[in-house]
Amino acid sequence: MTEELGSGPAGEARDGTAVPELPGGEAGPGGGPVRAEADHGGEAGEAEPDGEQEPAGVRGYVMTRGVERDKDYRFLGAAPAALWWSAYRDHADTNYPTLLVEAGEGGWRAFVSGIPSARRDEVSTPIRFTLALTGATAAAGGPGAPVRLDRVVRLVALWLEAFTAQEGRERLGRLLDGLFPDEAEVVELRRRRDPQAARTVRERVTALLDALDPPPESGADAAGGPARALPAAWFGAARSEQGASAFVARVRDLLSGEREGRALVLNLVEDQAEAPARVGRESLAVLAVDGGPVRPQPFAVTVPGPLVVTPPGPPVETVPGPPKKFGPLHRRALLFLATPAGAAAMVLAIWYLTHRHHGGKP
Amino acid sequence: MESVTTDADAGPVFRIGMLGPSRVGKTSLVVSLLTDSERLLGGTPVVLRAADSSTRARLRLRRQELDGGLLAKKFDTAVMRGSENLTYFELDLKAGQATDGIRFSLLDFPGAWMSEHERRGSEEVRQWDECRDFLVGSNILIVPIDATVLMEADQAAHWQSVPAVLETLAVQEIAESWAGYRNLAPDEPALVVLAPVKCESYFADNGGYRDDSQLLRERVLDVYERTVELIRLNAPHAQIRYCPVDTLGCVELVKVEWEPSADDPGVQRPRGTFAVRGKGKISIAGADDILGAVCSLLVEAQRKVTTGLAAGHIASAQDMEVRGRELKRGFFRHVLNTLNGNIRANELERSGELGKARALRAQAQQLQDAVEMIAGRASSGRSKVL
Amino acid sequence: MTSGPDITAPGATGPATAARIDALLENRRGLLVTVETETARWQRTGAALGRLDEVLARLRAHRDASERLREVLGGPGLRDLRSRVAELLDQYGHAAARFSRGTVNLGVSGQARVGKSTLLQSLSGLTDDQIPTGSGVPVTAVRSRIFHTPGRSRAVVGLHTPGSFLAESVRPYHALLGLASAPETLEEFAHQRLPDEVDDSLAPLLQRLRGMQRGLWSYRDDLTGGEREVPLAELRGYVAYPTQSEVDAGEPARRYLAVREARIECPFPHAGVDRIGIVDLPGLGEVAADAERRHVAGLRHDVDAVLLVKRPLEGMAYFGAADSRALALLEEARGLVRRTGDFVFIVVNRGKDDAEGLTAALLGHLASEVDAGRAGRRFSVLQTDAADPHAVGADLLAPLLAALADRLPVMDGDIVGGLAERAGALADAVRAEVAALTAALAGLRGHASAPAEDLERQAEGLREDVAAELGEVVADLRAEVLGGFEDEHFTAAVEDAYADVSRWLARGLGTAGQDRTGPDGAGDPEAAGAAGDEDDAVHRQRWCARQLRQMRVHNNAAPVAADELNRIRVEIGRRFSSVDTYFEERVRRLHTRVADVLGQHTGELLAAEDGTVARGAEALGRFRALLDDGYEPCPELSAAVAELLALRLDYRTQLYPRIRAQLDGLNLEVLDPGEGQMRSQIAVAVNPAGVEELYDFITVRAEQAAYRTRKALLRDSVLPGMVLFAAVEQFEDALIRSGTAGREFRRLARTYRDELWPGRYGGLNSEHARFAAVARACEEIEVALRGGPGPRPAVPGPRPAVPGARTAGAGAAGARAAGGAQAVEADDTEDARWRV
Repeated sequence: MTEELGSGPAGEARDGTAVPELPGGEAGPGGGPVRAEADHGGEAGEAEPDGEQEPAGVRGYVMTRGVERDKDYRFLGAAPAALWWSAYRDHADTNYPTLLVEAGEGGWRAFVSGIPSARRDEVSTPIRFTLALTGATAAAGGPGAPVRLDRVVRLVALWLEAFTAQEGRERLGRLLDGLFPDEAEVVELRRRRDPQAARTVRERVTALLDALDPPPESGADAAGGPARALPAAWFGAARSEQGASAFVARVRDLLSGEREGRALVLNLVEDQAEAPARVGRESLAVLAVDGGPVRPQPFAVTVPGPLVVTPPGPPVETVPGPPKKFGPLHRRALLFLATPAGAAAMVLAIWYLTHRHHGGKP
Repeated sequence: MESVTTDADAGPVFRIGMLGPSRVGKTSLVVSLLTDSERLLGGTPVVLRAADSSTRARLRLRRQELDGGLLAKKFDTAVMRGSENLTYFELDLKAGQATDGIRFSLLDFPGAWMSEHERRGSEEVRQWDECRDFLVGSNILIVPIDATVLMEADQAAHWQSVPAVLETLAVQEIAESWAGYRNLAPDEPALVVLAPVKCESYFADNGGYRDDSQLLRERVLDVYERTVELIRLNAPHAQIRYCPVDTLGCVELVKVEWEPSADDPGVQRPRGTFAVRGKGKISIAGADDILGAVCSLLVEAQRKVTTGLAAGHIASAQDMEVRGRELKRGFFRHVLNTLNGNIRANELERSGELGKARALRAQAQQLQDAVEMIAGRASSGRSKVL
Repeated sequence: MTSGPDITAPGATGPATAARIDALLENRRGLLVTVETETARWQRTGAALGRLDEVLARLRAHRDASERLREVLGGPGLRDLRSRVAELLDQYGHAAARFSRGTVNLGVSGQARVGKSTLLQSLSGLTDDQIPTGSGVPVTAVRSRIFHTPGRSRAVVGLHTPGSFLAESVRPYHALLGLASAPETLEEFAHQRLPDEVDDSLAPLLQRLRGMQRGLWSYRDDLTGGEREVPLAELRGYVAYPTQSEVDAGEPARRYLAVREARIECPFPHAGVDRIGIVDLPGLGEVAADAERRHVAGLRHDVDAVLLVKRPLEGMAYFGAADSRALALLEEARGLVRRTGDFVFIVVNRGKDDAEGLTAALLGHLASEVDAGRAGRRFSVLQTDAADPHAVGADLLAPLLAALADRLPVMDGDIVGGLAERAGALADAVRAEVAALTAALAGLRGHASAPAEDLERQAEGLREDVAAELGEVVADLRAEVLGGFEDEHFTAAVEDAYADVSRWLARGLGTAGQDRTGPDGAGDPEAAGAAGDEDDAVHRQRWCARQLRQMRVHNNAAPVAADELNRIRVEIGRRFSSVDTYFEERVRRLHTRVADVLGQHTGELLAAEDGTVARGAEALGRFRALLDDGYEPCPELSAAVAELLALRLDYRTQLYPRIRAQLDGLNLEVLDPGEGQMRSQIAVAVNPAGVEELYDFITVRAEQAAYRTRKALLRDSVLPGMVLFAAVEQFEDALIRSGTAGREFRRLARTYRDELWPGRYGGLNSEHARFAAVARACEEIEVALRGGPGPRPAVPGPRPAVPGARTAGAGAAGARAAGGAQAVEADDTEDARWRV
């Protein structure tokens, strides 16, 4: 796994997008409210006017395509500042249903792909929706946040339903089709990069969330029991009810701020060995679309790997302000990493010296 | 950018870029090439595999989709979903048991990025840069061309739309850069494949009833004339091939409707309807020509590298021998060096080098055989070297 | 079979005579050929004279015709000649009737009471029931023809229509009685008030007319026209006058009035009469003079000899004034037969009880009065007892037929010779008249000759003007062809046809509306429109239901699939032929454009007599006719125009062969290119799912075929332009640059200078077309008189082989044409078309 990421011909290029924002800042409870976030994808005029109230703490982005051939997949109105999900390119093919949730430092972000639209493109292939959502955790968010976060959990649950039942993603697709009924508007939003368009899309996402029924409390409790009994890091199958309900419970925990870490539904991963490495002591829940144990299994080994593949992400849309500091969790992780790195550096130095010595001779 | 990255262990890694606009069928072609390689390369010692589990999984996802689409019995142009993002396929080509695998990566990307007006956001620009770097730096450039666009254009308005629909200018621009870059490394393999896809309705050799292949070739060469010229001019050593492909084989064009583009004034976009032919059994044709060309080129490059490495080892063995003689010159030096083990160490090193050289030569021979077998394989008769 | 006396008279007429009669009848066929040839010659001559009359009238009517010209041309001689020709033709017509007859006809004539009916009975074997006899009063009212027909006895009566009855039977009486208005309808006749009294001499006529009027009730229903077959037993009622007892009993029936003539077929009781017909000629001296003349006119056609029956009775045993009048009429009927005695035979009917003295007296009187003193000098007088068939056979038939066998060829020769003589005289007269006219015109020509130099300049200018403008037309079309210019109208026409086919297919594979209008309603737009409210899905369901039933009948889907594919294939091919409308329009536009160019520079040339200006093809046709009709014809220019007019663009002959292959997929079985064998494209189960599958399959195949057809047509979109370009280029070349073009333009200018440049030159040019037309009409007359070819002689000068010239033109059309061009095998040579 590791070589694939570090080496290879496209390594450099890929690293460009794979660089995650280091988790940081003491943006925990009491940290800046998420409403202060701003896209800074580089587009002029994208920043929202100060004081603009973020609708209920969830900022959403929608990617889809137009019917015409060249109207390829693109975010409507505005794109998230970082394409953080591309760090998972070896674990998930986002052209196919993929779900990624990361949380840390009072913020969370989610990536949900493969929601089918009823629309078809010019060559009659079904069109899809992909959502990217960010927000503050319930703990960090404003008063309305918990309600909305419940809806995000509901969205995740619906999305997952598709693996065990017919409904789910289709329903999400229908809702989204209802919110973007006009092809001309889609094409227009696809083209635009301005606050007005961005706001329009965000409002639609909010409307989408509002259209979802609140998650059944009892269900959450029922799922909560066994799910909470699971270890911090586990691996399961998306097609199993148990895996799905545990996953939903985990997402709830992540969004509420109870846990930091990641919950991932990955379609290129068949067994645990192929899953992303757990970073430090983060919570890591992974569902494989193909394969995976019916009962979620604890991660066999916490790889003390030398590489941070994808650390649990806080909202990448960093809050302008004082540079974030490392939290205790991350400090430990860093320490963990530093040890082998230091050893490696020593070896390198010795090797270098000896070789320079021999290097004189042909 | 270095296209052939030499890894101490893995050997060179080659790159293959797919250069085609959105919905042309890049992904379908990739899947055809890669999932059907066993059949396509049948009769040769060449084996093509996904180099890692994620590539394997990626291919599996796509294959399922392709097969599922065909099972539906009634589908339109494409069964494969469009790409949202960059997709790398890491592959391993083995041309004999004793040889090292040849690593190569193949890049698929959302074709719309080729059109400049579609790359407004920073996210696309950044990704396109990555893409473009990969394409320009690749050894092999496969240009899938939607054959139906060329063959079904029959009015002036259609012809005026062809460049926009096929993104011919972007293809030309990248091909030119590619050729310029290739010219810097004339020893490395360089191949451009003009690959008309969805050719089922224009060939009579794969279940079809009509043979319009001559016309197709004329039209492709007509539309890509300048591109071919630029490649010849900038990279005279590059091979240019014409390889028409039936991506599915069992479909046939029913009709194409050209509709005015919503936001591209003056441009009409074709929308084709296809029907399943016969029992709907996939029968890819022409892909073996591409795969054969790619493999023989890569294997040949590998052979060159291997031969070069063998020569290096022989050279160093010879150095060792000279050094051995040096170590033995004069009695005291001889004794001293014998005692401190220098002579023995040198001898071990020399025989090691020789052994490596011998192994590499054997590998080179296997590779040579493989290349010959691929070349000797019966071709579909569709492919042409330009 | 007749119930008459069964009499045979062996030896009465020898077999030798019968054979000679057969032979002479056969010989007459040869004469018929001559007569027909002459008839044709004179018909042509008559037509040519008519045309001359016509063109002279047009020349006289020309605006610029001088008084003197009108005077010269106005002579009445031509009209006289034309009536003489008509008369001659009439005579030839009679001769032809005579020579084409298959029998020798004997007319039997005589005044009342001479025993004519008795003689007829003896000759024919008919009895009183059919041919009544009577003493003292005329009994047969209708001309009857009786033919020897072994083994059959019947009569066919030809009936008057009300119109012919009024015209032929009623009006002559009105005329003779001097009544003002003859009735136009039966109703009028029925209620007409007839004068109470007339001059005594006319009283019998009035009496008859009254009888006709009163008896109308009895024959009105018989005025049906046509023929009616009547049993012999009923014949009498149709042909006989009412008997006195009937008259006395009240108003008698007069059905004979409805009868024009009767034809009786029965076996004659005589040998050797196979080819003998007997014509009963009633009424000599009975009806008004007009009626008599009419009877005589009938004789000419119908009889070869006439028996004039006399009976030596008291008071009749002499040749009186009535006999003389009858003989005079017969003389007229003789026509061109030289000897009266050959034509008229006098039969003296001496009954057993008749007084010998009276017979002798009659014979003597005959000899002195008729034969100029010596018996048999002019007429043969035959004596017999008309009541005795044996005697009639021996005394009358045998010598009569022997004489006819001798003399009929002579009579026929007389007729032919006489006609030839008359024809020769008439031909001389016609030639003289034509010569006089030609001379007169020649004298006039000197008067009006054009200033030659100026005219040549004008001709050259005309040619340049036309060349310049046609050059523009050619250039436009060339640009269209070479520039790959897409004809959007063609594209639109093809797209329309394609859309039409697609709609048709979507509507239950074209079966929408069938339920209402039957199987033929598929293409009925009204039915389709009425069904338009229904969903396509409904049509689909209906189709599936119907075809499933069929499939169940066959217990096999293949017949249904094959039939449906065939039906749809044919219909698609047919529907695309709607592009012909466009083709017609293109050709029409080209003709209009070229005609406009010509029209602009040719003054009043293309204007009709009434001043209207023709356009398009009509104008070109007129132009061509003018080129042909000129005093100096312009064959090259005319051929060029003809060629342009013959230009055709059509789907069926030009495009269909090229696109037909696109429809080949619409067959149940297609050739598998891999295996080289025919194989079925689809096999479905005989159940609802199967029929749905079949529907989808056929739909897809049909859509594909329609699409490919559309595509093949569009690929040829440059073709119509190419054909038009080739045509107009060839036209321009031939019109402007052919070797003789300059000369022919000058001819055109000379011929039509007054129309081309009205008012520029004074007076009528002798080379004007109207003069030319007169000259040509004169030539035609001469040709016709010589027995030359048809009424319209070919234009002098060679006319190029049109199809060949076209092919060459199309070949020169342009380099582009060569690539896609394919020679289509010509199988419809009658209408040469552009082949590409």
